[in-house]
Amino acid sequence: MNLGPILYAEDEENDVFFLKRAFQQAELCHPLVIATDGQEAINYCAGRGRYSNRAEFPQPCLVLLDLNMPKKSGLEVLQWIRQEPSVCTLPVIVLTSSLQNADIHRAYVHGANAYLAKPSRPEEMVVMVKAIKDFWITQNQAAEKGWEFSGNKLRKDGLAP
Amino acid sequence: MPLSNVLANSTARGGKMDATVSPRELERLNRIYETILSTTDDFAYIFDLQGHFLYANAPLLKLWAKTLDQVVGKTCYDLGYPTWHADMHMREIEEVARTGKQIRGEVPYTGESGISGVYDYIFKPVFNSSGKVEIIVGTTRDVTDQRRVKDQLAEAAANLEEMVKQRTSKLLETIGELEAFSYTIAHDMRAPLRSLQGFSHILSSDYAKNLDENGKRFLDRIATSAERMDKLIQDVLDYSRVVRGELPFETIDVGRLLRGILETYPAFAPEKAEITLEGPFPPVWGNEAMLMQILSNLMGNAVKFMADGAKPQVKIWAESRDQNVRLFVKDNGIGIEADQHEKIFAIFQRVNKDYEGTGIGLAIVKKAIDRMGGAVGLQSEPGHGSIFWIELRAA
Repeated sequence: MNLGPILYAEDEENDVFFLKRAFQQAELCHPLVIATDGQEAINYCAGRGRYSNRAEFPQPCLVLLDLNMPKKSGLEVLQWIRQEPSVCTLPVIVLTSSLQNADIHRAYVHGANAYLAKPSRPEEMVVMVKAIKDFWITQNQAAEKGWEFSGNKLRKDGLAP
Repeated sequence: MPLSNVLANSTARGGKMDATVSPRELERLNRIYETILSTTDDFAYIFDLQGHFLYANAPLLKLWAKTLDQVVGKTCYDLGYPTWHADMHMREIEEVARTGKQIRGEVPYTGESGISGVYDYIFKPVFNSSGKVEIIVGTTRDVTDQRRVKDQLAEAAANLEEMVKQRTSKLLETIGELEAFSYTIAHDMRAPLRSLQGFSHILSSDYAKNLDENGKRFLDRIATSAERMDKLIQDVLDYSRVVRGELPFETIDVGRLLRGILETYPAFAPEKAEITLEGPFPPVWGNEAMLMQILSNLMGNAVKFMADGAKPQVKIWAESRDQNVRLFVKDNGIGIEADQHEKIFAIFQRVNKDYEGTGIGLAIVKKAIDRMGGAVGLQSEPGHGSIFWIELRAA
């Protein structure tokens, strides 16, 4: 079980409210961190700017990503995460109201782990959060931090290749 | 010089004049050939190997406004052709004489008569008995009209191409805008709607005790309206997807598709509806996503339009018909009046307002079937249920 916070990148205040409420009802007690635009989400993942204190702002264990956001789109955030060695193994779930095939396709091509449609009813939201908790938090094995994969070689911080 | 004399003379020059041809016979032949050659509108003429005219038929003389006597022994230069034009024909005559091969060309010309046009001409060698080029005969056709029509056609084709190009680019632009528009509907317009739905549900679940009966009813109405709006937007998006989406065709296992639909939708669960699949289902050729949409819409309707309290009983089967497969969905619902059978496939048409709906489901079915080159129809009467069928190509 991974204890980092869950990062929710979402500019729509009401959607944040619904997700928080669903977290409570689903008894998912992971801390939920909110980034209100794409750039904030990147800054948080990178531990940049006001998120530089990792003790206060630990790396997330899961990212829930809206697609249509100010500054950087969800897709741009996803691309950044996948090319950044320190966070490239982070599970990313796209959570959006767009059911456009093009969006879905692009998201998977750029390395999304799942693509979920925002439910319209609060009780469906709870069902969804429970499913996320069960699969991504409880069952799924997260990649250990500190590993780096470059030039076809896998190595861990501080250890000789 | 009469034509037969040309023939007789040139034969004589070849030293082989047939002594049995009498002058009277020559005169007779002359009349025959002259009549033939002057009956056509085309020009016919004869050159010697140095480019002197030996003969010209009546239409050509008319173009030049000359008599035969005035032109025999003359070259194109003598007849007042522009130098470039005369040069060209002299070169061609020399070439035909040298190679023994015919030449064909097209040239604009205005005769002294004032007649002008574009002329298609052929210079052809005539060989003597020892295989040497003896004289050169020519025929020329006025192709002005043909040429004009051809030019006009080419111009029209070019215009058409340009027009198609412009329209296509405009159309693509429109499609792009429409896509942006439906994206906006999907994303931006549904966001506030989701809030409306969410908060009204939270109000009615968490704050119900603070509301009287009227308050609760009004809240219910808000929730229902928001839900209907959401469904409407989703259906319109589905419809636009069916209208413009790409659809690669493949072999579809209909039985598997139907079982998948039964498992996916809660409305088709055994406790809600009795749905029987009476196989076998022959595979069909089409787009799987679209067929799934079609079948789930038809099945959705089959379980929806029920008389109060009745449990839906739906039977689905297939029949092979020549190259096609017809799929039937039979229900025990309320049925449809005969005069509504056409109408129900039109978008936003709702026959019965007692049932929740957007009037888009069957429009999607019709559009998707059309796009796959299939057919759709029904048999139904009020109180006796409905049988909807679709027909697609067998795989």
